Amino acid sequence: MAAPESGDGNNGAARMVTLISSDNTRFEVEAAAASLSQTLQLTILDGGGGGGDGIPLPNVDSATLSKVLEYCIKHAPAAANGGAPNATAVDRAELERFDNEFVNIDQSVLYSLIMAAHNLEIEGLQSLVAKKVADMIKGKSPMEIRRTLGFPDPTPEEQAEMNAHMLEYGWAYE
Amino acid sequence: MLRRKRSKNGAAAAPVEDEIDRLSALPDDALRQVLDLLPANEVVRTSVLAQRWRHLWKSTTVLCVRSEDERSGHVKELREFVDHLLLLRGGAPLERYELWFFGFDDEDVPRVNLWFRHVVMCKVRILRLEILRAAGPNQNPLLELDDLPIVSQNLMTLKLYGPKPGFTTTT
Repeated sequence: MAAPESGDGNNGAARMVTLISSDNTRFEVEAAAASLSQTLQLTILDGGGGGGDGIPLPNVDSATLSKVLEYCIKHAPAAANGGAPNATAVDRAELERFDNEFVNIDQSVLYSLIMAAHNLEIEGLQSLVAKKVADMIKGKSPMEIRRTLGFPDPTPEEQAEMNAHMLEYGWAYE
Repeated sequence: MLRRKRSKNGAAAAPVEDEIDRLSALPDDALRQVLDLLPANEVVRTSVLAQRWRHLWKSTTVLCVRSEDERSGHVKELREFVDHLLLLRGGAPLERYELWFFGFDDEDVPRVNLWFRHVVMCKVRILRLEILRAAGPNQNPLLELDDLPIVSQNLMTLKLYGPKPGFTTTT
């Protein structure tokens, strides 16, 4: 839970770092926001990503990275306060509203986001996207889940396999 | 990603096929994090979804067996489920285990004790047993846990609502 800033008596202007997506788009962002990523935190603490250098992220494309950074920028102030013990209820409600809105997205974007959150180890974002998928699954039958998650309808063979499986797992369907 | 979406009419199959691949491409840990948020019966049921999910449920670290109402909440109603659940996942490590029941008979007590000891062996860190009953005249409303030493280097939180520990704890 160490504060991500390097503590270099910066007066006024926040330190910026540059991240480079897999399709070579450069994103300039406050170090505090990028440091929500456990993967990036050490590099940034070591002074990386500044100046003209930039940190390459070969696994994250620009559309996903811009979405990830939107999350990080919004959550950085609260994270800097160590979970924001002095945050007001209004602040927390605002973050919650932001989060709900944030994951109200297409599945393909959601899955890219899960992958990126995982690669970059952004804890809050990992939980948020996991919860979104769990909410999509909760209380549904296997077929409904498949449709919700965007799976194609099963082929006759797959259907037969699913039926056999449900028979084997009868104990979980009572 | 946004660009690729919604190909014009007729080509609907391709992007759909894509979703199952994209989801399958996610690392186990990411999928497990999803499963950890579901009640145990729904966790097991995800195994039917696709090959990718077949055995994932056995390695989730959170198991929450919770009955919704008093009628279906008796230990007996869920005994077969919990037995299968615990036996089939074997000794895979557990982070959190929760059992919520609304009723039990005296003969259920050894079974609950066995589950308790099993999950301690699975290195559970947070354990919560919420088991109550409306006791008859000569019945103990509390479920008594065995007076046996429980040794765990992993257990951090133990919450018992209803069960009465027959053991003492030291740290």
